[in-house]
Amino acid sequence: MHIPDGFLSPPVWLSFDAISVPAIGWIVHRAKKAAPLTPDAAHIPLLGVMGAFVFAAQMINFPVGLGASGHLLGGSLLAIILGPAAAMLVMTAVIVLQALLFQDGGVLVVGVNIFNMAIAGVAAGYLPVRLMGRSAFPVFLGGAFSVLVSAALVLWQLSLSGVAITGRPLWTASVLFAITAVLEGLITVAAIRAIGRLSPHSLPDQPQVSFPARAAFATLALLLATGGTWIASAAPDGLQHLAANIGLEANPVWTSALLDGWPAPAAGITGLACVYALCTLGGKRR
Amino acid sequence: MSPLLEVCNLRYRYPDGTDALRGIDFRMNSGECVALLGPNGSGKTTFALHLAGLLKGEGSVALHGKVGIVFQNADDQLFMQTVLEDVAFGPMNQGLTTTEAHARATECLDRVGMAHAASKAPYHLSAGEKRRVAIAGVLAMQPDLLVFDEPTTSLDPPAERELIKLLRALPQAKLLVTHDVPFARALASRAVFFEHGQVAADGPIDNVIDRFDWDFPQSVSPDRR
Amino acid sequence: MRHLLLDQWSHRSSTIHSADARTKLVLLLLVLLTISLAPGSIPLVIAPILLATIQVSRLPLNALLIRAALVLPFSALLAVAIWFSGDSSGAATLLIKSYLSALAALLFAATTPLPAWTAALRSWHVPATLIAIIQVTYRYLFVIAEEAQTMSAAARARGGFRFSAATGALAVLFARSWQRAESVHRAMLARGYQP
Repeated sequence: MHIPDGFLSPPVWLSFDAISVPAIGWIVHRAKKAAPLTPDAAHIPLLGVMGAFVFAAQMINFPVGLGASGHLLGGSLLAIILGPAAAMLVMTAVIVLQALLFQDGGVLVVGVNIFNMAIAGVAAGYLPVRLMGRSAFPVFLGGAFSVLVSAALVLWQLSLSGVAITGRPLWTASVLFAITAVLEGLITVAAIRAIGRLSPHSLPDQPQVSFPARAAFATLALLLATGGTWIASAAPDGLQHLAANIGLEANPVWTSALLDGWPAPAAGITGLACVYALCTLGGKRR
Repeated sequence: MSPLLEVCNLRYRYPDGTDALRGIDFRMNSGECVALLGPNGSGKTTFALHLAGLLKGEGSVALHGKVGIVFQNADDQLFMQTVLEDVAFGPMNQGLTTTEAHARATECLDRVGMAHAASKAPYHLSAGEKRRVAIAGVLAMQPDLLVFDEPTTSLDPPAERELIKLLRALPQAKLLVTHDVPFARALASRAVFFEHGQVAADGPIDNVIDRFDWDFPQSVSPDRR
Repeated sequence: MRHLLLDQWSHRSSTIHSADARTKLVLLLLVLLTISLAPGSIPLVIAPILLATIQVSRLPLNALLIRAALVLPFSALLAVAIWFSGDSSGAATLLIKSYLSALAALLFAATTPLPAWTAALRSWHVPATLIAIIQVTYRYLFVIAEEAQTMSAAARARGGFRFSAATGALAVLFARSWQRAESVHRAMLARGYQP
């Protein structure tokens, strides 16, 4: 799910890179304030080693029948074990290393991949467990959601960039993503259970309280937005129709070559930001 | 002259309830080399961690000097990007400037014969080389007592011989926690034997080894006559 | 492991290797931008520049060209999807663009050791915590990956992983990694580290 360079248009990747930068700064701040994970472990060595673990874990093949095999991506597993902020940092480090060392994911778009997988993916992977505890079903949902949210974002970003994936190929891609999501869920459930038996002191007592309920609204908003954009990707002309219907067609903004491509992602992100702001305010009133 | 190290009635219980140390009395003088022998789980490593100040139990550990500990797994000790940075880690934490720390690191690498590897990444070193760099990293803190936890793990015979030569040349007091009896014999004249968290014997190394039958059992040696 | 090549490559010497990491990073970004933004066949102008740079940095040409092609399977999948959606020229362009971008990034990584580019990022105010995590991850990446490979090899020797066995291996890998982190922390404390 790592997007290489050359696929996204500048407005799209610049926007998401621009979001990722302050987001990482904020996440570092949150991670530092979160309680130490065990009495003995210090943050940096632990998070670094966990990053190495993710790399190595992605090499283990899980057979799923018919000669095919999948592997763990790890965002939701890390979120459950380390807490969301720390997990986001670890996944960010992993993505940076994957981009520069292995050319797995582009360099210009590293901020996009970080947003998709390390931020949104981890948040979506954590949310069900935070709300429902560490039993099998929420853990499965966490794994599945982390993949689905990342995948939806990828499709959305591609469509915003004018990269046309429609019709049958889109359905094929969607099915593949869905299978990956289910697999991630299953592996994460199995892994959490096995780790709980083998190394119980490494699992937190309860899901960390660092993400209050407003995060639930935020991620719900994200899910709705990404679900909506998945549909929009399938019909990229939909936005154009809408614009025509409400008379924006002739607006210079739409036709200006300089700003070509900006309106859609800008609108999308502004919309997301508004929803998040509303939810945060709503959450604060509690 | 007061001893370098004086341990009185040291007791320690792990968080899960196991009694690891049940009243250890132990003394060491400057420049002495002592082997710490005993079965797995007898408390040897726990004791070593107390000496390094990483664990705190009841009773007293009186140190008239600094302790440096070289752990069993060299990979877990060489955590910086390059050999030089790793050896300089200790001095930097002691307050030296980068230049001073690097100078001391270079000197210590020289002493262990690893000056040529200063800019290498630890991943690329052999087990013996890692061991020597780890020792340099501890020497760089200028300790008076060196504690070694299973230092011959993963070493091939030539590397082990190199290690013996190196250790013989170090003037600091040394405590060798080890299962490697020939290695212990080559360096130490005195041995302490731990059993169930207590000192079961403390005396000349040959006596201790004979008393606990701690050498390679002759009864299972292949008969090559 | 693949990285071994990179590490040997990044520690060689040439004018490119000795160049300042920040300059190289800026140049990399400019090259990537050019490939990404320029229309039509402009990206192909970049190719000779990259090839020339590879020569100057005294790196093995074929090895780099092949290594950069590792990005192609994923790009090809996307390209195929795009082709079947009706945009064939777009698909070809995307394939070329992503290959050249990967080659440029690879060239950067092969001439700039990790401590150098992490220091460059740090000077551009990337949070120190993140940089430290990247460095420790890199330090232990191959150690732990080797453990995973050993376990996989041991499993293959006995008929390959079943799902439950793979889960067990993952849990063991995790437990050992956790212990390793505790050991590293202990070693840091033993040498005066104050968190």
